[in-house]
Amino acid sequence: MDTFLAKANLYLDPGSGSIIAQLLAATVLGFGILLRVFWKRITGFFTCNKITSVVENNNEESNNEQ
Amino acid sequence: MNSDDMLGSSFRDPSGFVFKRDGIIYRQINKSYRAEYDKLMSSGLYTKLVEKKKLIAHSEVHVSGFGNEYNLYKIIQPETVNFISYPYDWSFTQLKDAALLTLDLAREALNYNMILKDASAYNIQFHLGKPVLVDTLSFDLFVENKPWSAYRQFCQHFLVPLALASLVDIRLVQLLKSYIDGIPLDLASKLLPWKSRLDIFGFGVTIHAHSKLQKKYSYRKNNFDNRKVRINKDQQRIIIEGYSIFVKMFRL
Repeated sequence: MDTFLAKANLYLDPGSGSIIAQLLAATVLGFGILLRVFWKRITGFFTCNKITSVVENNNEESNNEQ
Repeated sequence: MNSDDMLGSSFRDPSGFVFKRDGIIYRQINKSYRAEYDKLMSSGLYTKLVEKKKLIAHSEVHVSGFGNEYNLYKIIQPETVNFISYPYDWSFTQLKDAALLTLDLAREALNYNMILKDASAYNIQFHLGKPVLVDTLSFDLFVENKPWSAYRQFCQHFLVPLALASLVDIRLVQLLKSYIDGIPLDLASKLLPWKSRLDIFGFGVTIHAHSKLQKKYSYRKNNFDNRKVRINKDQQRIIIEGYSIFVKMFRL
């Protein structure tokens, strides 16, 4: 009886298939975002990050000199 | 209250209903929705959404001679929307704007530990030139690890019509007239061109895989326990952000 009432009170029943699809979407889209971040890091390694690391090294050297 | 006063537009909502008195639209909030309504109003979510013109403003009122008091918590009078339109009346861009607003609302709700429980396109109206949510009772308390209950509805009400208009024919948006709960995913999967299956991050997951999973788990023999699936807040944010990008990419 309780189960029946609980089901009757559900405004929107997402359905099992949709719940699994949602989990799949979160995983696939999450992987896509992760891929994008890593791609930026890879491209950044050959561009901006290289400059940043040079600047950081310079700063470290000047600190050591002081 | 006369039965004539009640409007059929909110017949499925257990949180309250819309009624008309002397030409003015009111909405009753039931006692069962008390915690959710109080959280919406006290958390700052209502103020933020109204300021950004994403949610219709309302005032709390007293309506005398109201006959459904055993379940009554509050009565609100929403700002009047002068022109009521439906998703199948809208242009492609309007449908796209309404989809983006729905995702915006879901995002903001999560920030305030609430969730958009209902992603119906019929809850959006165009007011003063902008899409706005007219159903104040669309917010629910967020429960950690509980999947977004309106996910399928969002797909059927927004993503499917946009995909069909974009990849097949804009006239297919009119299918929303026949399918008031949104265009079925299996129908969309059949109508979309085969190449759309190759778009794994977009149509592949949203429509084709979703349709197959729905079909697979629609039979009782699978007896799948929904409670086993846990989708946390970050995963829901990923879905919202991913679909915002996906919707923005739709072109005619």
